[in-house]
Amino acid sequence: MDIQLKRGVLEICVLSAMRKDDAYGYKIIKDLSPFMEVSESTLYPILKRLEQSGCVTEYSVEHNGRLRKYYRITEAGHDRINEFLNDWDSVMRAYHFIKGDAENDKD
Amino acid sequence: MTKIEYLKKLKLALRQVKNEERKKSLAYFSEVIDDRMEDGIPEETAVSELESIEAAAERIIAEAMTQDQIKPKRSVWEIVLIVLGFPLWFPLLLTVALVVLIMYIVVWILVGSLFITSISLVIGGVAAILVMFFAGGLAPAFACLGVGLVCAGLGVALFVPAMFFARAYAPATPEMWNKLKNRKEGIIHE
Repeated sequence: MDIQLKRGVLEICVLSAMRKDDAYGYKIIKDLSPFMEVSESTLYPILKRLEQSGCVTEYSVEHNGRLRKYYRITEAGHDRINEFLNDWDSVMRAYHFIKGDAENDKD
Repeated sequence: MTKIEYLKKLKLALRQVKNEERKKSLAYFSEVIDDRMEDGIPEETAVSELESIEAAAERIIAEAMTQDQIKPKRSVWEIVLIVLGFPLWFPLLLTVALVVLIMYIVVWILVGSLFITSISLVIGGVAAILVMFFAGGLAPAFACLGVGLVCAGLGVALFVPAMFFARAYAPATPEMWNKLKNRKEGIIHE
């Protein structure tokens, strides 16, 4: 997949992973694994970017004698997901157009 | 590779990243490894399944670059100043280190003298009690016994605060040592 596209999609996936409940790094990776392969080191910059753009907030919770960082999706984060879904409709229209064209070429 | 080794190497690979961001990223990786281990993955596997240190560092650095989190390089002038200033900053540093060391020793000496005082009071007291048998007379004998008991009692009583101070101060030694070592090696324990 195109790197830019993949990055954009990954960000939305990560946001969606915390839509139900606040999540921590390892949980996000595990939850996404059936759908998308995300490594720990890929996730870190994504979380950082999402935090900086105000899509998530973070807080630490003590867990087994250490700190675990939880991420919570914000209003802006929800907007971001909706925006993506809306955009995707137009992407899909373009997709069908492209695919249709390609199939016409075959004929 | 153990978790600590991985974090140490990652820290080294991230030396150009500003401290705050570097700490954050190390804390993240530390947490992820801990979580993997908690999930039942053995430490070695949990670490080896991570991306290589080089790849992880590259991602962190690439992201840090876009956010102005890279340490400014030391200019030639700064390096020249550091080198030329060596005769000035080195003795100062040495002095500070020695003062700290001496303060540390002085406290131990104070604690030690409490012990010595306590022990000598007890010995002196016992000696005074023994001397009463050679005092030659009832009054001097009782005087010796009295003085001996008071001394021995004081000595025993003094042993309690001496032990207290020693116990309180002893753990400070490994603590201070760890702090020094961690500052040098800079592994985070959060």
